[in-house]
Amino acid sequence: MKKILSLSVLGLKQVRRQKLFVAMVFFFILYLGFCLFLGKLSVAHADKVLRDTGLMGIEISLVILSIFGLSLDFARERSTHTLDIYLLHLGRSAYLATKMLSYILASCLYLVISGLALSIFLLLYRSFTPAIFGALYSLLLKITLVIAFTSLFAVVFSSPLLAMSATLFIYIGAELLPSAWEIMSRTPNVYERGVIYTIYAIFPNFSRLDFRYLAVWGNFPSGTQIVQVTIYTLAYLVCVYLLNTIVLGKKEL
Amino acid sequence: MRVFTQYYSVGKKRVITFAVFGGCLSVVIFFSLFIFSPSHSYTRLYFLPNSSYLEAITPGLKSLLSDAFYIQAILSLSDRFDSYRKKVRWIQRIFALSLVLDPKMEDNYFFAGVVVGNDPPSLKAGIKFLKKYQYLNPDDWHIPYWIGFDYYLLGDFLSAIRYYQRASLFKSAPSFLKSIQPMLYYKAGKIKLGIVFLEGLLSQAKNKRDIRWIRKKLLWLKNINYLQERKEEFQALFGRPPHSIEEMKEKGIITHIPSDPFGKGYYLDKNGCIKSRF
Amino acid sequence: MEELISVRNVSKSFSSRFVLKGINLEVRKGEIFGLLGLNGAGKTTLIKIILKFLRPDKGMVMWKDSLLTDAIIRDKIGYLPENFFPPSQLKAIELLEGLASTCTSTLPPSQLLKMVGLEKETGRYLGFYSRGMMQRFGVALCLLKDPEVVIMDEPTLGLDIRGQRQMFDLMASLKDKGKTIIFSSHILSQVQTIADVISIVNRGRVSFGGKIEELLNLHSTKVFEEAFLKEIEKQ
Repeated sequence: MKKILSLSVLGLKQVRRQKLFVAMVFFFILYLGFCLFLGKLSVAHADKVLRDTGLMGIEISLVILSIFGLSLDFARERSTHTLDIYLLHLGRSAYLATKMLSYILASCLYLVISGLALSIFLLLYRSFTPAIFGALYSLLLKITLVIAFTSLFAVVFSSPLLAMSATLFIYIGAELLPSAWEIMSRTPNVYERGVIYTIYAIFPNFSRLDFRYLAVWGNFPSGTQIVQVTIYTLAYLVCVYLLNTIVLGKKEL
Repeated sequence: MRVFTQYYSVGKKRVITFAVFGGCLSVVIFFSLFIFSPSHSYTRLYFLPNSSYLEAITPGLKSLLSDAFYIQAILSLSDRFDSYRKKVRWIQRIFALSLVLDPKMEDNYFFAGVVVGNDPPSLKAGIKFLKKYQYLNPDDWHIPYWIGFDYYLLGDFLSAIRYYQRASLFKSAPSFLKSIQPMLYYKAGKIKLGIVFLEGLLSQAKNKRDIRWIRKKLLWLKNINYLQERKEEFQALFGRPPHSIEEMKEKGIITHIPSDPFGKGYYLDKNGCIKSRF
Repeated sequence: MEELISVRNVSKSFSSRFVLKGINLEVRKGEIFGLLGLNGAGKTTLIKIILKFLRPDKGMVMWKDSLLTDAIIRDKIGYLPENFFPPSQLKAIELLEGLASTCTSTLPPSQLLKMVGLEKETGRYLGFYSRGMMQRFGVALCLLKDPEVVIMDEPTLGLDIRGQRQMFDLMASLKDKGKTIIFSSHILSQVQTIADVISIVNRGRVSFGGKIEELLNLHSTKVFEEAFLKEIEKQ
């Protein structure tokens, strides 16, 4: 455990110094300008729109950072043979845990920076509510699953482009899943309903992990909700991680 | 022996891995299906930007924005809201925005004007929407047709007829808009008006197929009208309505029961009105 | 001398194309073992099989008298891959200290960097290292866990003449410290000066295994390159 943690901190240093991380921070700051513009358009609802778009901006930039950063990182380590060095020292499952944990820590760092920037921005426009921290926590859980999927696909596919595309599709699919469920659950065909039921059960339930809508209205999630989403995320993370270790264990490098 | 021991410990590790995986997957599925039930109840923002702002800032992207709002509205059709009124209002607002940005997207009318109509108030809201935004497509026959359809669903057959007639006057209007009106007249109980309508159509019809169906429907309505008049005659004579059309024949009020050109036959309903099984 | 690593009848194919067929070789403690062959002969594949990055279709790799396991590799074997580029966003000392936490026993990172001649570059980002410095840093990474065996795949690839000389001097000093070294190379002139034992891999088989003098006698020549080429063309 100690070696995983110390290497994860090393990984965090590495991610923090990457151009992509810095680019995302700048992107978010510029994005806040766009939020301001949207706020001006939204007469009588400016505070809610500012919170909503601000949180969405954090989510988008985090998703880009996680998916692109992690996939390219994997590919780079494979091509430069750094992966061989790590595997020699760590073993495959510990290496995966280290990689995922470094990006989770990097996401935490990014959330702190962007959360601070957003809070200052909202305070300036009298739209701040402490409830956004609840949303940031749920965002962390969501990004944890995105990171887990990214690392799985980065291991499965040798091409980083395929890994990024696959993860993006999972992310978009998971976001649209509740709507698809609503439509498909009305079909009379038993087999179609069975398929959508299975997909709904197994796909990550991002809409339930998202407390953004609560935060936008200034509401905190309840203790039960927080515990539920945390348990769900941890269980899902373990599933994807174990699947990943099985795949990496079988893979020839 | 050492090799065997190594393989045994690898096997044990695999079993533990699969057991943990199975356990966590069960937790995930349990949460997805039972704790996180599909009916989400998160509160909505209920905000849309003003269309004139969007028109002003996005001259090149209007069509794309229209598509985005259209998709959002379609997805909202499947969402659950606190009340159906709220749902209809919200969905119509998004469709209206999509329509204003791109008036050629006719499906906005259909979804906002017809599909959302689940009960009389929402049907009326649909009619209001269609009438309000008809100005964006004044030459489109679909819009008066859909208004007529909504009135038909409301049971206001005369208003339905009025709008179907308006729709049928458009150049590109299909012929079924005319052929469906006799049925509406029948449902509205205005048989004589239906007959007048069909006789007027017949005098203008040139197409042999049109003439055929007009004559058929005309005969159908005339038969109903004939039986209705004979029924009133029976009532005047015997002081009560007939029990059935056959009784009118037995009593000699009619010499024969006219055959239904659509083959289903006529009957007397419990209110004493002549009805067709067509 | 004690047999450390022995490869027994290892075969490997990729998409029904045989890369290695029935490879047998032994590496003894304290020797510098040279793995030679043309491009595509299967040297890197063999090294990856030894390190368990690849699974052989047949055969096994033994460590002393037992199967070579992941735990033994992690504790006892250091590896310098071919064309190694360390992560550019980290400093040398950071990476060494980070990986040191994974080793049960380790040499101090500063000492390692001094051993490879990088003591003045500890605070520099790895992205600013020259090719020669990266290779030397790679050797430092190899030695982090104070391994018994050091495997180097083309350690002089991309190095200038001085860098190559430095690398071979480093290997000689490691041998003096009691390390066993397995390396693959194309530079026969320098292999001749440093390797105790060689194995020539040709078309997936070990066509020769033994001392360089034996190869020279076999082909009645005093020139190593000539003997090597004759051995390759023999099959």
